[in-house]
Amino acid sequence: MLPRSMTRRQMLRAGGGVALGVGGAAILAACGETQVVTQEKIVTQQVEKIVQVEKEVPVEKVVQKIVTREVAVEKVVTQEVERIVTVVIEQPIGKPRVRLRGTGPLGTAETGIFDKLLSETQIELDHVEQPYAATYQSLLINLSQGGSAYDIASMDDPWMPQFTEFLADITPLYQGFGWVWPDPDMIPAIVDLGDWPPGKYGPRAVPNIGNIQSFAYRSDVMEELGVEPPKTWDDVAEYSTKITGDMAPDLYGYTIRGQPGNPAMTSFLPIMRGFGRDVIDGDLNPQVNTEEGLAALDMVVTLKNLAPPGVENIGHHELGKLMYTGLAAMSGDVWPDQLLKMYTPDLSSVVGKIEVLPEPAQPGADHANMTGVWLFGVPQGSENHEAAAEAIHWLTQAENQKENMYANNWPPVRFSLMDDPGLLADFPFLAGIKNAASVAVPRPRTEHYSIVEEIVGRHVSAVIAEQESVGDAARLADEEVRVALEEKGAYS
Amino acid sequence: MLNVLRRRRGDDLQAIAKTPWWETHLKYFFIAPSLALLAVMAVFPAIMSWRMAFSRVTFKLGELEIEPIGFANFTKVFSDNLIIGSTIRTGVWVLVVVSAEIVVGLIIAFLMSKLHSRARMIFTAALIIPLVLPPVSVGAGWLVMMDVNFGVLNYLLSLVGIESQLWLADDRTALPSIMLIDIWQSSMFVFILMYAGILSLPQDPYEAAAIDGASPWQIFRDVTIPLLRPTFVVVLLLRTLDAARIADRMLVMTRGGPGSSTETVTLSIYKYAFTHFNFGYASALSVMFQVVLIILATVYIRRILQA
Repeated sequence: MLPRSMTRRQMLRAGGGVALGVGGAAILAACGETQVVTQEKIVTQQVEKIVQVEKEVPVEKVVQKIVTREVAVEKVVTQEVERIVTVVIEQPIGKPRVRLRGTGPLGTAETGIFDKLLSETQIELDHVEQPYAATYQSLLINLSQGGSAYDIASMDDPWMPQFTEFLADITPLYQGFGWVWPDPDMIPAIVDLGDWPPGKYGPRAVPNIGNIQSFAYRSDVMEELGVEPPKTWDDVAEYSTKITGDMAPDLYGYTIRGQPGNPAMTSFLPIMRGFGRDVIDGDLNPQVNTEEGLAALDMVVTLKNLAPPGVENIGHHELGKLMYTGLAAMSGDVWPDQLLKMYTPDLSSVVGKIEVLPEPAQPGADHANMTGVWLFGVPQGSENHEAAAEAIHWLTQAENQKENMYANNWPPVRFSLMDDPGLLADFPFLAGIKNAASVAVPRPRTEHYSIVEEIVGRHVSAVIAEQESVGDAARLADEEVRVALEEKGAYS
Repeated sequence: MLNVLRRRRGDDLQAIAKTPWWETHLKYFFIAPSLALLAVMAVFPAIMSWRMAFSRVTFKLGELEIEPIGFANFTKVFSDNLIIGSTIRTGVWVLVVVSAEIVVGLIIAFLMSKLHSRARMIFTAALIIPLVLPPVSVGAGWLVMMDVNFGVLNYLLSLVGIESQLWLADDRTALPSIMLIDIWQSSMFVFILMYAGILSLPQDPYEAAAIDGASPWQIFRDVTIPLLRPTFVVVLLLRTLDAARIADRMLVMTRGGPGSSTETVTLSIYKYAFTHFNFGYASALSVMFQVVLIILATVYIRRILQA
């Protein structure tokens, strides 16, 4: 066929026609029939799952299990001796499939937890994965503006004072389903993190990950030195001096995070508290430039000089690596995910040589391990409060928390799991985490904590890098915190 | 002839009169989506940013409380040691990286123009690889390579008997280390523009210089460089603006540390906005930064037009 010439107008018309056609087709495709989950399919999935999980459980218990999952059971008939059962279900006939969106640590898709949630509750959970800082920022903006971008927010406990007023009350949501809140199986001190200021708004969040910072040390090295595990920061400094003096560059006494902001602050806080003072007091007055604060900063300098080279610019992962490669003997800034690596033979050269303790404390001061608990909340702006509450309830059940421990090393928040013999056998450090949890305290409970953390963490980093003297860093940190909090109206 | 022209003009006018209105205004329909997008994504945020710069901004449920406070956010800048330090650091950063990138890019472009066409293709493809990598990935990769204890750079140094360097862990070497990475990556952008500029230069001046017996260095200095002046100004403009906005590399590699030794203006703005949630002050800083960059760009563009 011969090529046909077109005028510009004809070309525009043709182009417009094609664009309309393509656009129309896309709209029609998008308006296609939505997936309908039939009653039969729900029944099959329920039965298959329960048979798989409860192989040795009598049929009566299977029935009970189904009922507790809010599925009304009319009749259960065993067809054979084994667990082949037919379930006739009145509800949830036509229970609509709900799609939720959540961010922060919710679970890992690879473990199939979201598929399981869908099959059991008809709730499809989209997980928006973001780095720590981005999660915080997007949550604060979305929650405070009453946005509906997220239906479930998974939040670190220091964020709670900022977020509670933007979250829905958990109690009536749970009561609507006939569930009890607070759950008596959950550790009360951890549950309380979701209520800030205590009693003002009521419980706004359900804990899911019982992260606790702990002091980890090499038991074989302590044996070699012929000493008891350290109880005070002076002990830590003394043993580190010996270790680094005798064994560096193969082994250093202590490791600390030097990156500014959250990393340096998270390493510094247990030391400061171990000297008997927090970075801010109950009235939000900065406390770094005090006798205890200065002593804590001096201790930071001492320990940094006994640490492997380069700690001035390390963060969470690098600190863990220094421990599990056997380059550092002690750290007071160790978290459960790092412990798992230390206990993983493929990665670690110190398997079975790491023990966990409460943070050291100077005589007269309290041991103060830091909580890093993650809690689920329902943003007020969400349009799916009930479904979100149902998903949160489901995700925080014991069997799911147990799966999370195996899949992600997320410590549970339930008494029943902390003492679970199977878990304790598989995760020997869990007992240490439980002991650490018994003395754990949250970071200072104020909505302005991120400001305090950024300022003090920057100056601690400068001390570690020998950019500022201890005296200057303490003075500047306190001055800047006070100015920043005054601007925020924290003292009025 | 005149009649024919008149008749044609009359036909055209008739055709225009018959054209439906939507067709005569079709161009506006085509532009409208872009304009709407620009308004939503650029104009509205810019206006909000200027408004916030003169205000104290507080988060309330479902709203932002914006309370006017005059120039307080602007005057605070001059007593903020962090910002003063960041500004000086950013200035040094721009001066060093842009100068080095122009020198490196120009040298590579000049050498490349002397190569055989097949070799040129191969080398050009290899040289633009750093350019297509995302800065965050580049930062994360170099962070691992510069690790003091486990990094490949210190390992390679140890093979030749040089002791480990602290790279990013020392406040004296952290900024220069990140500068090296930026020069490695962004010199290739300069190279591409310079290379295109060199290839498009007229040949007559070169022939005249050769006839006059000029040496290669004289040709480079007195012919190539002056002829490349417009390209230089474009490169200088683009690289200066881009280098001044650096934040992502520092955020990934050092978080601005050790201490604040790698903290730049945009990183400080980011921290004031998203750690302190002081949107008023962060907006004032952004506005000031924006004004400085606009002045710089205006000066450069004038130079381009003059050139």
